[in-house]
Amino acid sequence: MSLRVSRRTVLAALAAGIVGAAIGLRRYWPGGDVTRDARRLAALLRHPDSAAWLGRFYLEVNPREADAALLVTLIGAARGPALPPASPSTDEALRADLEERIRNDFIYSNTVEVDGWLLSLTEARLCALVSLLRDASPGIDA
Amino acid sequence: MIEDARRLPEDTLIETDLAIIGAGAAGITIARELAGTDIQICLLESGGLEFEQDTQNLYTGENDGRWYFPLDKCRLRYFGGSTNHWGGWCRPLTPIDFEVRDWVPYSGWPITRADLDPYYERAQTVTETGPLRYDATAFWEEQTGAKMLPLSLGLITTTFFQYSPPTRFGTRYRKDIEQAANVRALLHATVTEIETSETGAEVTGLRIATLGGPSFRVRARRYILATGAIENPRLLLLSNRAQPAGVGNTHDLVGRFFMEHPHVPGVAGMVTSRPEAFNTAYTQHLSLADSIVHAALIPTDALLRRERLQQAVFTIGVMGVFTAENLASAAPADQQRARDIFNLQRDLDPARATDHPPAGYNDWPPAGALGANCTFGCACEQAPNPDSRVTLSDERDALGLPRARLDWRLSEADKLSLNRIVRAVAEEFGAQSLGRVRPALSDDGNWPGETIGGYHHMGTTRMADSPDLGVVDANCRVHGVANLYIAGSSVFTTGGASNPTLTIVALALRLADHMRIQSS
Repeated sequence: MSLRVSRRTVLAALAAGIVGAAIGLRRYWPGGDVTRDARRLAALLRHPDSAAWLGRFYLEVNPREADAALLVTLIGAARGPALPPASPSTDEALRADLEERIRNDFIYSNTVEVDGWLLSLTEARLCALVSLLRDASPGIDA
Repeated sequence: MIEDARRLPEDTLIETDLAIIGAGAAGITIARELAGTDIQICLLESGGLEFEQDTQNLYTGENDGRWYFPLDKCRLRYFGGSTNHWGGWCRPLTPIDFEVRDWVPYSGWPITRADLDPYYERAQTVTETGPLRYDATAFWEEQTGAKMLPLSLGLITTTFFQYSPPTRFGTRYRKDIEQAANVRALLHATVTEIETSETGAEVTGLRIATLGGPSFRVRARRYILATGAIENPRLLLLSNRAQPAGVGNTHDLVGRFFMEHPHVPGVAGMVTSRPEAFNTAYTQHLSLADSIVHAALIPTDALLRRERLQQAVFTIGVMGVFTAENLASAAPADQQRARDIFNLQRDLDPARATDHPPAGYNDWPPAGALGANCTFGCACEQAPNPDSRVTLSDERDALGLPRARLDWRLSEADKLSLNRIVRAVAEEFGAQSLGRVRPALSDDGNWPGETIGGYHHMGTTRMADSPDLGVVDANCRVHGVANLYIAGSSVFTTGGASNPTLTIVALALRLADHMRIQSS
């Protein structure tokens, strides 16, 4: 599956008030590829059924984010450590990067209720990403 | 000396220095403190040494506000009072609880926590608890050998309850009362009226009845009313022969400001993939050499001040654990979401993205536990509210006295404060990777129907420097009545979120000291 940045993505990102997106839509890593980034992020969640279920809940409330490229962008735009020039070489490093963004989400109240659970926006969007990728490729783990 | 008042001759007049009405935690504490002094004491108890249904029925009353427990099920009316069934939970009020907080109406005691600290120290002994170190995390880490939760956002912090055995004052201290030469305890002696001078400025005596037995009177130099936060105002209000509004009620405050600690069962759920972080002290009572403790969570003072919130305290209950075995099987539908949240946390946690159970210690977590599904218990502060009150019913009890009517009211502000603190717990736990929280409260000011109290009756003869704002002064003397004092949680100006018994005992010890000074 190819993930292209659509006009809708740009508008949705602008509507979401993402400064980074306003300057110029970026991928998770500056030099990254959005399709690869999306798959790599989603692959961190080794229980895709759980993530997808939560992700569907999130997307029901936030339908304008039902765009994998947008989600990758928003996840990358979350407050966190400076993005490395290239993707972290290991899943552990990527998890650590996300953990920092998730921590910041909770510190700065960038949270969302998903079926009543208070989640960080970053983790909710990761779940949404898994949900979208599974819907795009049924039967394939994201 | 302990006697049965039913054996007194009719119309007996007992003269003494100090009459204490009620032999519960407060009354027994004061009598014990003054045992062996020159002060002659008459301790009056409505019940006997054991539970008796006909006496207990005198507690029956009406509930006229939001749902509340039947009043005759809240308290025990016999020697030892409600310590005969209390759970033993002890924790002092915190310093901020005593302060004027401009966001909490009618807040601000006329005394500080520092004023009570020496009495809290002594109350620890009376309640047979350990050191007065409730918020000293490092101390309890050393005592328990366990690390407490790493909470660093400044939103919530760990506190500790201590457990009294629980001390049953009626049995534990009965011998002290029996052997005190200057204490005469009369059982089955129900005070039916506080008699005052015509102006109401002085108590002149007590009228006392027994069920099916004689009536008699007690005349004392000083009187202490210690019958609980529903019976104290009831007795003041019904004693209206000289003053139609009742004793000490010039400003229409007696019975108002009834407070509880609202409890919302399952105020939030929580799933953790780091069960080892919640050491045994959080999940069960931990027995140490000289104390039994239980860790709990409270908002920090900084959060309370910054966001203008009221107190709350949370305990953690474990509903179940996630193991490799039960995760491999199908989950019941109602547990699937908790499992989804657990999976999400584990997948995103760099230290937990494996199926290896954490190394635990003590009794927690159990072998093989990868995570836990928990619930929070909570008790929170109710802001003083003059419309939440005890009045007199049109119904009468077996002695012909008006029964109590309770109109318990909670405010939207009380609920919104609790909402915010639950979310603060969620944010702190999320930021520390300790777990994900599911607040169960609606995001508005409406209290859920299942909200209950903790059997903590407070505030109905509140303490304040000004008679416009309170029934008793800083020494627990009733404003405008020279020789009448009140002991117990009815004098609490605000209730914090701490179980009241330890503070009741501390205030009783302080009042006993005051009596000693007054008598010398």
